Amino acid sequence: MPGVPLADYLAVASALFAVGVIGFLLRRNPITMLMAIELMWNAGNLAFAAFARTFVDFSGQIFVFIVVTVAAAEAAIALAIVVMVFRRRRDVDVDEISELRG
Amino acid sequence: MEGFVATVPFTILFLPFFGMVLIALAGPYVPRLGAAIVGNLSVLGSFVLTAVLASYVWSLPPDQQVLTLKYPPAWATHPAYWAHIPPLTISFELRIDPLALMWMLIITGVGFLIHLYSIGYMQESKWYRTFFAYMNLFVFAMLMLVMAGNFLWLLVGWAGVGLASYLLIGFDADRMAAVLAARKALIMNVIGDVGIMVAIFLMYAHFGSLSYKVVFANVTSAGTSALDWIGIWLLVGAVAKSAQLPLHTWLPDAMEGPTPVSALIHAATMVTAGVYLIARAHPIYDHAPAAAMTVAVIGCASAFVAATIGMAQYDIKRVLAYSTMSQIGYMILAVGVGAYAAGTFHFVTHAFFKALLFMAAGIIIHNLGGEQDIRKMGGLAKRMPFAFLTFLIGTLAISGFFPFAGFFSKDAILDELQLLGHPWLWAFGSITALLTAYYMFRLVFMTFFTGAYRGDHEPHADRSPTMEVPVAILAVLATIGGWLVLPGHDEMSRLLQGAFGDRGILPTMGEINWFVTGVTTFSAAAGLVIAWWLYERAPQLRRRLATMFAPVQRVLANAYYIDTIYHWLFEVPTLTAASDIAKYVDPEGVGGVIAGVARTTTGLGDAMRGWETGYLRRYGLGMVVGMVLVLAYYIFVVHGGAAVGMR
Amino acid sequence: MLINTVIFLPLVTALVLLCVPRTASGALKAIALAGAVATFVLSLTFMSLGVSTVADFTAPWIAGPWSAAYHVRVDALRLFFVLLTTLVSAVCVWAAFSYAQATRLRGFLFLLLTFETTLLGLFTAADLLLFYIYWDLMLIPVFLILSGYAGSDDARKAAWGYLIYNGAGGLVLLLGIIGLVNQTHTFEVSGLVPNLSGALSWWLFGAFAFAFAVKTPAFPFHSWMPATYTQSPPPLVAMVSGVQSKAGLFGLLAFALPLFPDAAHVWAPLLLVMAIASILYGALAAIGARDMKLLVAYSSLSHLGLVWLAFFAFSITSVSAGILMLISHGLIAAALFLLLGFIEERVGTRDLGAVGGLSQHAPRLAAYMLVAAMAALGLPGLSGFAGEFLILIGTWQTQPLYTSLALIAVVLACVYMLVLFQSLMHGPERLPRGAGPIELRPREMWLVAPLLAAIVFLGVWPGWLNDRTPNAVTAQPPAVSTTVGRHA
Repeated sequence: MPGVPLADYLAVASALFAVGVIGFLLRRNPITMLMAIELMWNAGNLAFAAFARTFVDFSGQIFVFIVVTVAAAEAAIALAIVVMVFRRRRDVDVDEISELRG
Repeated sequence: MEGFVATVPFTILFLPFFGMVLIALAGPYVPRLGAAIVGNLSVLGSFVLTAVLASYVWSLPPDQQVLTLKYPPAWATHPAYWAHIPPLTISFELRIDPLALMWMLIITGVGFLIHLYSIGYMQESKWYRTFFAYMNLFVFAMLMLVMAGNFLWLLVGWAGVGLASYLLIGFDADRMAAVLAARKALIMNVIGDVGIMVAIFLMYAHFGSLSYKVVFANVTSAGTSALDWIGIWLLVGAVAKSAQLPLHTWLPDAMEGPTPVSALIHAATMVTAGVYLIARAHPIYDHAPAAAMTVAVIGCASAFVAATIGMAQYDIKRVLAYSTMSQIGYMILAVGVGAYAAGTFHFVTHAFFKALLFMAAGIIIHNLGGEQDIRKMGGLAKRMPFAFLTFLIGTLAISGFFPFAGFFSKDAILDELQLLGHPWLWAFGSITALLTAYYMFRLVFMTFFTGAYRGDHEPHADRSPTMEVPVAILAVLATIGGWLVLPGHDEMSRLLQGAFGDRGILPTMGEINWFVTGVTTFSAAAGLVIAWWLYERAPQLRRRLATMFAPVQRVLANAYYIDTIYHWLFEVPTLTAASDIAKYVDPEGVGGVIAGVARTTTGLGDAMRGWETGYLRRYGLGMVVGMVLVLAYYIFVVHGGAAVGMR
Repeated sequence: MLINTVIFLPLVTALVLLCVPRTASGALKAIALAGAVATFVLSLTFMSLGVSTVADFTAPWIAGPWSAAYHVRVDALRLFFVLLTTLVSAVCVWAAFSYAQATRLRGFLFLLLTFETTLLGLFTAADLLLFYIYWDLMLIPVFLILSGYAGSDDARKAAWGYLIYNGAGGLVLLLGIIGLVNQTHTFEVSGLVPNLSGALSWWLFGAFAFAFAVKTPAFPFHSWMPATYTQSPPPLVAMVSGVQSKAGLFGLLAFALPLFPDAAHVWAPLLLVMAIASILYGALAAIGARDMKLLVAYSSLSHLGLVWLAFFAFSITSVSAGILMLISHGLIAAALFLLLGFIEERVGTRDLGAVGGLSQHAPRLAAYMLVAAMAALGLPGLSGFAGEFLILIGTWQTQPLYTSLALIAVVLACVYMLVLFQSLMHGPERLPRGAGPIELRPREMWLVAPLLAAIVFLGVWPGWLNDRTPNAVTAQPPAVSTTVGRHA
């Protein structure tokens, strides 16, 4: 796809990111929120990859790999927390989990 | 002879010290008398050695009579200094000269007699051994003061006698009055120490040394005003130690100490240290006319003021205390005008008769079970003939009656004042002589005559030889001690020539100035007659006068309210400031600022804590808003909106 | 290697203590005291060094843009601080035997010995990074003893005050060190003359001086002191006031003055005012204090203010005398706090108004107190006077006005020390109900005796110490000696 300009990639990435943000802010189910975070990760990844291709600098692609692994780790930990919370409270509404307020 | 000269002064100095250490270490393991014997023998040993040393020194020609001893001696491979921070060097050094010897003889001689007297006097004390340890400490420190070869060691002795004086004034430690008197004495003495320290700093700045030898040899290299300042600051030390105006108020209170202490420290020796200091520093005062004049005026004023106060006191020891202050005023006056030999002479005779007076008074107090108020005495001449006789000899001597010791020395001082052209000082000196005779004979009449005994409980009259022998010896000395200077034969000046050279040895010593002698004798006689008239002959006249001059009487009885003034001027403000600082300023002011910082921090924390709601999505919103703001900053501020085509 | 043995022997001893069961109090005491005394005896061998030689140990530590080395050293400047530490620590370990909670004695001794190692490390550190590490490490044992072993809520509060205040001081010191090393690129700064701009060196010296003033403490940075000194158990307060309070002034001599001689001169007018304020304020507060430990605490403020005066008057005499004064104050403060600790333990109060007339029951205690109190009030013949006198004779030559003000404190010192001594020892007898025998026990007499002996020795012959510390000042180019020349 040599003809696709950088701006298009970035537009898609921005849209993905916006979807992620909105999802994160509006949903109260932590699993949905995690998915929204994944969307934001991937928006970033897309931008990295697009820049790497445009400027022929492979650091961008390496970053993508790091982000993917970190995202996987993050998802694993977050899901574990969600499971623990569910076991204790039988409920996973994030607005109800506010014990850490100051 | 080398070894003799090197070791004897050292032995003289440290014998009393080792006596003290021995008493302290032996503690309760030896009988009480053992401590007394150790104390007595060590001081007696010092006295004998001093006499030997003195006869040796005075056998030398006058210009070789100054011995300077440095420790360790010159041949030592490793020189040792008291302090050594180049260029500052302060050595261990002693200086033996006729002036020091004169004082050493009195300190150890009279000191021994008073040690002897204490064996009996202190019999009932709980702290008998401690008393002798302290007395030995005093003798040691006082010897250090007069044997020192530089101003540092003088200061060490100076403060050492202050400590001994403090310990002995507060000897009856369970009486609050004694404790407070001791505190006052030490604080005032420390003011004097500070005066000497300043003088030392100035001397170091000008001469680069504290050694008598160096300072006195280069005295002219400093300007007159510098020497005046040094002289004034030395005077501050002298005034505090010798209880002269305006730092005299500790001495009357110091009478809280046991009577032997009053006799030795607060009459015969320690309080004369100021006279010694000025005589010792005479090369400075010789070139510091303003300072010397200040010395003379303060001495004269002290002599006069103390005599007036002495007229209105009723405590036998307080009267003697004020008379001490007055007599030392004479000595200070003498050394102030440059009559060093006359001042030293009066020191010697004063040591005899004042120690005698205190010890005779001590016998009375002892036999009256601690009573010191002369209003509760009277008629004691028959009951205690020995005390009466000796006290009378002392009174005649201090009043200046021929041929007792005080006559010669007081006359010598007044002679010099005339000769050196100080008519006003002479006039005050002569009036003071009259007052002296008056208050001393008032004391004699009230104590020994004026009808019958007025006390509450019957006096007992136990006689102990250890108390009476020293008193008798001193009575003899107070009688004949003045004969060192007889008309045409001036032994005193001959002895002191090695210390003062030609200055301070004035031609009138040993000459009779009939005018001065006449006035002096007349003053003394007048004082005696007035006292006799008012107390024996016409008591009703005395009462009439007392009511007429009641306000004056009150002022004198309260010693011009100087204590009260000092109380409000210094004590109250200092203590108020101190307790305010400790109570309020420090915990709440200085500490409060810090506490304020801590409170602000916690307050900020409290305020910001509200933001931590615990709602995850609100945090998310915060992040997004932050992100948007950062982006906006870059787009609109950093790039001026170029990225979105605003430029 | 001897240096490292001396530094770490207390720590090793402390670790050995942990292997002994906490109930075996006899063994614990024997081991702790043996370790502390052995450290002292070993440190005495440094006496053979002489003035111009040093014991030195260096090992490479951090390479790279900001290099640092494990560099420890005992020279003429450090020698007496090391000896003071080992002596006072040994005495304090011995004094700790009477610590009330027998089951917790092990921890108490452990922390005291650890504290000794941090102090020794600080006084031997020749590398700035090492110095800083020990500087902050010192806080930990003190904090732990105060919060865990003093056993009162006030003490726990005091522990936090101590930690936060000194931690803040340490932070500023760290900033100063970073600012300096940013220029020198090495922490090994002894003997170095960094080429800094005037403004930068002004800021850096200010940071050092602030940290040192907090640690000493000096007015007005002393707010942590009253609570810490009054609440600490006697062995701890003896070590804190006797040894730790010297850390800041030591730091000035070892690092700040040689590194920033010009900035020191710029700061001097302000620091002289601070010194005089400490001297007079401390003396007045001591007169007003009704708590016996508080009184001595304020007297320390006053006495150490004198050393600040000595250092910033820039006369060779006074700087060298300042070292004497520091050592002397360490001995006197340790002796006083230990003796007051014994008294507090017997009568159960620190209130001067509640106790009196003790000398009638305890002549030996009275004699000991007399020597310590007289040394503190500056009686000639005892070490307090030697330090004070030599400082003032030096400062008089450059700062006569400030010296005159300091002399007022000499009189005030007499007042508060007499108030302390007489209130406790003299007057009518006043004892709280149920007080046991007052007289010193043999162990207590023996353990304070070395301190008093040293006080007397240094008072009679301070020249002995002078002759062993000259290079401490003059051999540090371009610290004080050259700046004096510039000043004159």
